[in-house]
Amino acid sequence: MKQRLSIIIILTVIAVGTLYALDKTSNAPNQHKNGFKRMFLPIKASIVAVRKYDFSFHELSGRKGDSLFLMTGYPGEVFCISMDLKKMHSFKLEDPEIPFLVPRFYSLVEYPQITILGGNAEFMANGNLETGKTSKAKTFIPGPYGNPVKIKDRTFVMKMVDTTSLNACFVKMNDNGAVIGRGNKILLPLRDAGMIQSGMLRYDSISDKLIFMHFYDNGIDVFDTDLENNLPFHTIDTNVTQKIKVLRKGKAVSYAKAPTAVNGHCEIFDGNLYVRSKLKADNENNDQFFNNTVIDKYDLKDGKYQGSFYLPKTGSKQIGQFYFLDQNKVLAIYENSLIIYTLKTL
Amino acid sequence: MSSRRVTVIIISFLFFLLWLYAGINKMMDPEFESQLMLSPYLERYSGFVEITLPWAEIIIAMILVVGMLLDDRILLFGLYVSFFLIFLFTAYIYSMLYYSHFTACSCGGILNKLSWNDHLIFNIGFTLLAILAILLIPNKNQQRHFWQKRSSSNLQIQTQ
Repeated sequence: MKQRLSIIIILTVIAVGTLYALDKTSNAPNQHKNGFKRMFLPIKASIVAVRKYDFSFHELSGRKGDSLFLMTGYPGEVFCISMDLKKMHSFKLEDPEIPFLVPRFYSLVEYPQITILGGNAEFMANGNLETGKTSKAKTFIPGPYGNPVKIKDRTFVMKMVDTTSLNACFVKMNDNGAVIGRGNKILLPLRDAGMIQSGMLRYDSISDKLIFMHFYDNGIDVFDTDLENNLPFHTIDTNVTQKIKVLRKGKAVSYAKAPTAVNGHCEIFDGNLYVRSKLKADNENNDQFFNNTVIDKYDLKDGKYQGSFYLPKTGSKQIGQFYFLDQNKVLAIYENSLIIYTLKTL
Repeated sequence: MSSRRVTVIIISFLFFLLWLYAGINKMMDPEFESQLMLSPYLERYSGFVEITLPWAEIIIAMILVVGMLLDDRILLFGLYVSFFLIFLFTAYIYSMLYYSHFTACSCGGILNKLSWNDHLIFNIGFTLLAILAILLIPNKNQQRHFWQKRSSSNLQIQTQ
């Protein structure tokens, strides 16, 4: 028995050692210096509320006063949560029966109205949270699309993949689903089905600009709502080439190797762009970087880097998404938890 | 047959089915190498793993079946190797889930339908079964040894 247990322990150690060696020889980011430094702002973030749920939240879809509207992976239910996370109730919506809406849908709440769209769905759903009634409207976008943002005049902008050329571009759609503008010059024609130039689109109502943050390189595109006049800038890291390769087989595009994301979620608040960076700066140590989520701040007027601050982690992974609720309050979505941080200037 | 031996045989048979299924499935899956390329840990070794892993799984399945039929020492060896491989897979899934910057799954067939967490639970279950079977195999003096049996039966024939 003793001998067998010893062999089991030895095999366990060999297996763990093998994985450790594989990890150290992998192309994981942050195993080496990334060639840039961060300047830390005198901001201390503290966790003031954490709530765990039986499900995970998909996104923050809208807010009204003290109420936050959050969606899960199911489009028929919207959760309304108070800003201190103490109260929660849900709104049920009629199933609009739109094929291919799930799982990659996006929802936008302007209480009581809700619009659910995206993925490969040919239709979008318009609903009323108070009555629970929904209706569907055809969209005339010639290809799958995602990351829609609502801009002024009941108009949406989203990133679309042209199924003929496999190039990605931005389109503007009105609330009847008709395409009213197309910006072919913002993204490069890489025939990548939008994978290489994956990212996150945001709308800044103050400057009336659209901001597209790239996941796999350090590019930030800033363009007007006519989908022209791109004035790009870069995040502080030194990755100018995409950390992703794709395989093209006919009309199918897939990853050729594990992509390395440079940036994660981004958010606009008060004229600044906040980016969750996935790269460790040369002046950060492992404890600082891996025990916190680092947020870099940029001025949207000129793209100038303003500094960084940390949001402490509550688990092993980085937070998924974060949203500024006010100047000093941040909501973070972390797997099946919601976290509220307060930011204090030191 | 004692209940102890029945337990060992059932666990060994489950591992035999698991390795055989996993090995054949990987061999027949044209996407297996490209799936391996997506793993941050295995990307560099994808060519090597693509060839060796399915064969290793099938060989372990064969060792287990030979062990079940003929010799407890071979069965014990097969269970040690099974434990090593299933523990390696379990630790791989855990580190992919919690530490990797990208998660890709190269499991085939029905296992592909499991979520990462389900897969982790499945593997932990099999790891524990392997330990149980290793500990339940009889001690040296009670083991079935194929060659010893044959030689002792020959001896009996000569004596008669």
